[in-house]
Amino acid sequence: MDVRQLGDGTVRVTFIGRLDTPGVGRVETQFTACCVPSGHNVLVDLSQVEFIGSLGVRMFIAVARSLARKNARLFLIAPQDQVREVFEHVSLDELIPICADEAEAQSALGA
Amino acid sequence: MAREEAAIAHHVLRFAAASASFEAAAEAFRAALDACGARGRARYNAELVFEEIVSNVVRHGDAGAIDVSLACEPDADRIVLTFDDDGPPFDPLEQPLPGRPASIEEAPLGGLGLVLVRKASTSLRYERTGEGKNRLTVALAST
Repeated sequence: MDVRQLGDGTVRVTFIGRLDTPGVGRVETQFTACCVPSGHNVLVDLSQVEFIGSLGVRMFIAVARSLARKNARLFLIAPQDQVREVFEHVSLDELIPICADEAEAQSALGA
Repeated sequence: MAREEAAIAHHVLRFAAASASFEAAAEAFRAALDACGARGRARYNAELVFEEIVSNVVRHGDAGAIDVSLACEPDADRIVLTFDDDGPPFDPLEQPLPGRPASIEEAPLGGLGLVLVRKASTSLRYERTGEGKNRLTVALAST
C-alpha cells in the first residue's frame, strides 16, 4: 500500500495484490488512519489489485461513509474487470464513483 | 461418457476452521486451481466463493474442520466446489440478503459475502448430510 498526498490536499492510495481476508487485515488500519482523520478527498488506485472479496468492499464502504460525513469523497480508479464486477454485484458502483483514471476523478472533483 | 468423467480433475483440501489456517488454505486452493488450468471469470469466482464461504465458517460456524473439494472439467470452463464443515446446521441460502442501498450511509456492512456467492455462482445447493455436516455445492462457469 502506497500513500501520496497530492498538491490540492487530495490523498492517493495505491493498493497492490490481493484484498482478501489476510490482505485487508494487513492494510485496513493504516488505510483508515491515513484517510479519515484529515477529511480530504481520497483517490484509490486499484489497477494493481488482482482480487477483492467482501471484506475489501466493506473496508471501502466504511471509509467512504466516514469521508462523506466530513463532506469528502472516495473515488475508485481503474479496477481490473473482475474486481469491478464485485463492486457491481453489491451495487456499490452506484454509491462510490469508479473512474477510468486519475484525471477523470480529478475532473469530477472539480465539477 | 466414462472417458469424460475420468478427465475431470479432482482436488480435496482439509484444514482447521480457524483464522490461523485461512491464508495457507487459500494458497493451497489457488495451487489446486493452477493445477486445473482454471483461469478467467470461473477462476476468479472460484477464489471469491472460497474466500466468502470459508471465512464465514471460520468466523461464525463453530466448526472444527472444513473439507473443500474442487472438480474441474478439462478446459476448466466449469468448476464445481463442495464445502463440508462439522459446525451446527447453517443454510446460507435461507439467509436474508441486504437490499439495494440508496446512499453510502445506508450501505450494509454485513451480508455482502453471501450476495457475492449468489452472484458468482451458476447453481447453489445446501444439504445437511447423514454424517451431521453442512454441505454446500457451488457450480461456476466462465460466462
